[in-house]
Amino acid sequence: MLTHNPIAFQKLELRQRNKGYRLLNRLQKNPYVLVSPSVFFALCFSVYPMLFCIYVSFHNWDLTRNTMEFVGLENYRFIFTNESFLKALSNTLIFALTTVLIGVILKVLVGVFLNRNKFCHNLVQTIIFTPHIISSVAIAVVFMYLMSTNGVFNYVLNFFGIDSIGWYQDPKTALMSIIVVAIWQGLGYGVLIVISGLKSIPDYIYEAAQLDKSSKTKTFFKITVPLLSPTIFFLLVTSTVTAFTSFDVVKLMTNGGPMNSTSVLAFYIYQEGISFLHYGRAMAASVVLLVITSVLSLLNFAMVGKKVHYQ
Amino acid sequence: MKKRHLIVRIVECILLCTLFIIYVFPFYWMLISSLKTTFEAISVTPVWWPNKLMWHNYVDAWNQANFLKYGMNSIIISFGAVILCLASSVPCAYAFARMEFRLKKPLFAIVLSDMLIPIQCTFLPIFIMYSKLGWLNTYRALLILFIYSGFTIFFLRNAFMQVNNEVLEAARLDGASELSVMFRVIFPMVKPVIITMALLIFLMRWNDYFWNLALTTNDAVRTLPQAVNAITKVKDGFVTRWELAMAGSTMLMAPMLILYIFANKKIKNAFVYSGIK
Amino acid sequence: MAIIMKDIKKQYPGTHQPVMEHFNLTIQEGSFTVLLGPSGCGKTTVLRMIAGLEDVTAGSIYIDDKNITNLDPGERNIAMVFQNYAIYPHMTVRGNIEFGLKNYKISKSEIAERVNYVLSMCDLSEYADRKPNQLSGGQRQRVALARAISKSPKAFLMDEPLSNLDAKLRNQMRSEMIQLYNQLGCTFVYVTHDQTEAMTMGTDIVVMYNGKIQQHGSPEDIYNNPANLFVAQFIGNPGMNTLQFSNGGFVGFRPRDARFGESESGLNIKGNVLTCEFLGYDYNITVNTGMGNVVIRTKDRKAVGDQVSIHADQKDLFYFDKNQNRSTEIQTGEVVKVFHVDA
Repeated sequence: MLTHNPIAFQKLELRQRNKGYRLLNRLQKNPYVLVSPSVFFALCFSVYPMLFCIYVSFHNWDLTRNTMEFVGLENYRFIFTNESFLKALSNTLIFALTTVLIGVILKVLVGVFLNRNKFCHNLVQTIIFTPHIISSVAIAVVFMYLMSTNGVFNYVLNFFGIDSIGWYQDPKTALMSIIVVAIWQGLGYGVLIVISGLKSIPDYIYEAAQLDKSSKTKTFFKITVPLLSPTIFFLLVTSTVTAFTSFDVVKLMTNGGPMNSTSVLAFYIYQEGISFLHYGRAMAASVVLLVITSVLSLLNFAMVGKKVHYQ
Repeated sequence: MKKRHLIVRIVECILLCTLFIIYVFPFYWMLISSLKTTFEAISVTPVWWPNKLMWHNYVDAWNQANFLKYGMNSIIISFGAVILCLASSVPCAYAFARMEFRLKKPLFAIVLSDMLIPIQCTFLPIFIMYSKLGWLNTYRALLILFIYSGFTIFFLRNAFMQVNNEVLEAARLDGASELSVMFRVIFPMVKPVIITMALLIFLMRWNDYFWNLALTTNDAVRTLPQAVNAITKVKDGFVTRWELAMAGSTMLMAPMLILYIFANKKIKNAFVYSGIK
Repeated sequence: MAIIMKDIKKQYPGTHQPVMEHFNLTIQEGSFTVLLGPSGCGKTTVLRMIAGLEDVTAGSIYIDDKNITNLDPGERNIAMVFQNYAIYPHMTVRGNIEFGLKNYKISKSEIAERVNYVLSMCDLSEYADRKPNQLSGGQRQRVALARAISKSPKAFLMDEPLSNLDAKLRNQMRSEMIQLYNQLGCTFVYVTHDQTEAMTMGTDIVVMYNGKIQQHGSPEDIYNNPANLFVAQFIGNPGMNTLQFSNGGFVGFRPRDARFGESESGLNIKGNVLTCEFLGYDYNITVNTGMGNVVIRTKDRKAVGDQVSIHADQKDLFYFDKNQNRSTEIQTGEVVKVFHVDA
């Protein structure tokens, strides 16, 4: 059938490429060319600002005379004796502690509960993740509305015979309101992580447990929880970092108030830095925040390195 | 035995419904209130379904918040961020995944630094830098800032690393240049990941409130989140125009919600595997 | 179209020990040369250096007397078939074959002609527009082969191309590969750790171990005339039985050449039966002799624990010196003396 054999031996020569193409090709082979833009911008927007922050935090930057005077730990001494900073720090700690503890427990429980491949479970799981992908402005605005004096939340309280409360407008309940929104907002992401952690536990382990006649509760506490522990740890760390750096909802709902009752670290930095132009103090507070988050992140990296369970 | 099973199922159903209501209600309330009159919106007894659907609220919110202008700003900045960020991250991720070079480790640490250093610590120096350059209230300030994203590089690098090396070697033996290996072999293979990443960058930049707040002092390049937030400050006498705020919020989140409806698996997986929040 | 590797040294960056040094190999034009050895012996490294996928630290490689050491893989006029086929998952079968051809100076019509020719040659014509994920393992393998053939290369390099196929398909592909070799008549370099593949397909076998060539010869040569102890033990199923002399030298015999019983000349040894494996036609019987285990392949069935005497004729014995190299000296007396052990 094939009368002519087109692949009879004949030397094939590579097509010549034009100069521009060859130059691009050469550049493309050089890793430094490829990574340099990202490295440059990483230096500009991450490494340099961090170093600058540390530098300025030890200085008194006088904006009117534009002088930078070394003052040692003066800025740190100032903020640690400054009432509004201490208030922000304690608010942050309360905020972090409650959102992380309640949040992680809820995330694990709801995650375990929703880890079933059924339509309803998947639907609910998809829905509770929604707050993660929409603007925090939309969330803050709708919660401000729900929590307003004549809002639905007070209506529900009244319905159960409880008096209306001021929610985010009352210094006593403002931080709690922010915490409620933060937990509501963060649940979906945590559940997603817990479910992916649960899915990574191979079925045969459960089958082996079944053959060992392990009861359901025993299986949960002796097998699921230990194997899920790297995931839980990851959640703990990331939620803590998120809690320490949270800003949007505070700025949007309460603007730190009323009476500093919701001022958190990130908000304090923003206010001191951009509103009051106290750069030295703001950056000292930034360094405090940086130290806290770095310790947490390094802890996370160390653990992930040790137990590579969480993908 | 069977009875207990029924109870378990009832409890399960109640829990599911509770979660459903807790998460759907705020969205329902946002939508339905966006169609109320001002009076209905602030009524002490909640109006579950307004008497007449006030579609005009959307027009008012649109004009009130100057959606056209801020929406354009949002679109310019988010699309620009997607293009610029991918243009710098893809080659970078490719090099870190596929090449060996002496400074690989330290450079990789630098590139991932924003996963460790929170923006709440870096925004002030950046603000100062921009104000010295006179770049506050410009598109370039935000666009250049958004070029770099450590997690994008990290995520893409993982995708590149999963490409089978044999296939690349086969292409080289086929006489393909490095450029054509990259564009004609690797990119098509990781296309789904790049699309996911583009979605994620778009989502993050569209929703961005913090940077836009920190790096703008007037409304030249403000984006939708700030504009929608401004609606809540609009008062009719002493009354907040909640129905307009709700209409604005609905319009702000609609694009993301539509994206999420069509690509929810992709988006969720991207969040799981990139380990970012 | 001989491939010559001269004084090759290969050391991976960041390691202290070179994987090979002073490595010399000449692959004859038109031969089907099999690089055979256990995993980690360097056979794949040799193949990849010929392909240009791996740099050589020192030394040079020639094809057709042309030094190709520093040429890019695409410039060497060779084709390679990989263990995992390495076909482009996002391209159709036709696209996979065309991709390579488009990089060379040939016309569109010639590309089409070549593609159609190799498609029909590899029985792939009806799958031309399918994507790889719609193909079976054997079909994917054929796509990889077709792609390689289409470039009419000077040499085909194959890196364990059959190892991912199931046993039945592997046998089938083996004979297809032999047909292909006869049809194309060009040089094949084939890497495997499977000696059945090596023996059935190869015209030349290069046995490698620890980055060194142990023996280079025809399959018969390798089996009948092992150059050293390693080759003797590695080749054959099971490999040669070897026993060490008190002076450090070795004597060996093939399991098939031994039988139960005793004789005046040759080697006699006694022991207990450890295991008796039925192989279908005959048995593999492992005997513990006190000098080490010895395997015999025979049709006589034995029960575990039986006391047996084993005999191998003088003509079937192989001798190795204390450096493990083959020795021609026959040391009858010592053999008898040493190995007449009572179990």
